[in-house]
Amino acid sequence: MASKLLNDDFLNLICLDFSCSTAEEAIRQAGNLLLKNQYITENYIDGMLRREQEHPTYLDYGVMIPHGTQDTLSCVLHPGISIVSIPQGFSYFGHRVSFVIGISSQEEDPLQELMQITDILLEPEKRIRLLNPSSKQEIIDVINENYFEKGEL
Amino acid sequence: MAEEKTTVSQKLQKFGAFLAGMVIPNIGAFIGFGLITAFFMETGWTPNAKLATLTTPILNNLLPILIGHTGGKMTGGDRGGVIGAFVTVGAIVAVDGTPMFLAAMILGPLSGWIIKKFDQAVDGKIPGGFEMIVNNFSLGIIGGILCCIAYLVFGPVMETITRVLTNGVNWIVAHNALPLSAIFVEPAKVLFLNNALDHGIFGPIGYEQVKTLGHSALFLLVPNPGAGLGLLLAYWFFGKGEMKDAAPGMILIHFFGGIHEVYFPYVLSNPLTIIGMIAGGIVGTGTLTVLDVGTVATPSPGSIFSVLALSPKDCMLGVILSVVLSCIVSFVVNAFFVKRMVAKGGDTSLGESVIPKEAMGSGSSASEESSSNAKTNDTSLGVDGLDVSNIKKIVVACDAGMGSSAMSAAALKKKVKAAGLPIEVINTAISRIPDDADLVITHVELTGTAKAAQPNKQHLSISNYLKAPEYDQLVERLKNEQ
Repeated sequence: MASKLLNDDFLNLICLDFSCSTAEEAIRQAGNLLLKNQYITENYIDGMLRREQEHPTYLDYGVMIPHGTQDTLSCVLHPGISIVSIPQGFSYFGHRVSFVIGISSQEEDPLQELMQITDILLEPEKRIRLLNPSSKQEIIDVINENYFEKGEL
Repeated sequence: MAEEKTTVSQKLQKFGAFLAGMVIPNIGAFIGFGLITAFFMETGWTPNAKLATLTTPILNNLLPILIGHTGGKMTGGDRGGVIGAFVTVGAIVAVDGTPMFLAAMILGPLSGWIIKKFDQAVDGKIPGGFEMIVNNFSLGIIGGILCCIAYLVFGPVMETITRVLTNGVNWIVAHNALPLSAIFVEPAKVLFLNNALDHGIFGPIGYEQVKTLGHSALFLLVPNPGAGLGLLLAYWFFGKGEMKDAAPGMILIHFFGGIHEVYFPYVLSNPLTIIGMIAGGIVGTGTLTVLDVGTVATPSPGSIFSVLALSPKDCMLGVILSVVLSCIVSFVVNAFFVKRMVAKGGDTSLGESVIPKEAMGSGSSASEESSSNAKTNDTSLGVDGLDVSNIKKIVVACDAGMGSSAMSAAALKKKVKAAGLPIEVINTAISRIPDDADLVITHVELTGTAKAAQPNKQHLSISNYLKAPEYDQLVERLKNEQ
């Protein structure tokens, strides 16, 4: 059994202690992480911003999950996610957002890390650890521990 | 809310919807049949004796088999469809020359159910590697037996029905009570016995009358398109949702094309409208009797064109009046029942069965802004408004099917799994909701779009993707009621 879902490369896709006051800045940051790690091409970020105009991707628990539009799917090089943590948070449609997960995904095939994060968000203790990480490594650890415990979801 | 009060009328409605569900997916073939008939029949627009020979096999064989297939599929899946079609043939052959729609509607679902029960009984007991052979032979053997039974049973049964109806008609004619014939003609008609009545019973007696009177009102008892037009108009003006939207097209097919079959599902799914049909029929036939008018042969198809083409000059006005009056009466009476159904549609979980799921394929042109859609369940009722008894596949949908729905589906899956329910939960984009979905869950802002895309499915709105309280309620109900 693969004991780890995320390896250390994922550190490059996390940004801790980001600070911003608008969703656009946070989305650009999440998009840039994906771009720098060659998960997407630049136009995908425009798609992420446009989707947000049409259908805000705010989820729950201060989490939002920006992703591209149908017409920017071709800009996806590699499926994956990036994480931007914003301890101060910013306000977005009446919610306080502090955790932004940028998604790079072609089709409906669920990203395993996203499934694990969902599972974590539904369990209060783990959720607190994930959303208030002391280090980038802790995010990876929480996800990997859950993966080890629950297996493929 | 677990126990639902099922009134007689709700049961009837459910039964009607079940029957309609066997017909509606096949309406295209009915229309094709109607077009071929309308063009190539002797009395058609472009008569062609050779092509006209197509009509009988289509009507007597293809259409009942399609209905038997759909009926079997509804109860027994793909295998049910195969056996349903197979067994229907038994009844078709038993009674030559009559379209056995009613028999198909009984035999299709029944055989589908039987094969499903068999499959459940042997499930897990077949040695590995033998599944294919057991599946094929079990269907072959059971289907063969049922087909023989259908052949032996339906011959006498149909003969009896025909004899009873013929005696009834003779009695009515003898007692000058022809208008009252609508009391049994209209119900028999919507049970797809229209052709049997028309060509098997009224036709022969009618021709006797033509010899002495020069025309007969009997020819018009079934093909008079007035009452059906009134019903469809009532749905067009006062209906809701897909039935309303489909009405104008149905009017075209029914009134001008003469394919009355298209309105039968409307009656079956709202059985009280049969009262309006009977009233329209009584007035229509009454007009014919009072004015002593009729046609010289059975208008087939029952289009306004063939009705007029077969009316002698001195009967023309009277026949037109009969059509108009029966239309008006049927419209007025049915308007009442249609309004009543629309008003009730919102607060009964049976609402969605007015047109059953899958009945109109997702490719149906009649998608609409269905926030005002009374026949799918009212999402404002949330979980309580759902009929959860048959939910096997839940689809969580969002606009792209990538992020929110994936995570929301994962959240629901977690709860479903924890409850140990054998239910599949998937996520997609709204535009790609699969046909076999039993329940569609969307964020409240997207439910309108989802309903427009899938008007015949049950919908549930959530306001939070992850911490949706609806999910707990839903799982609770599924646990209790499945």
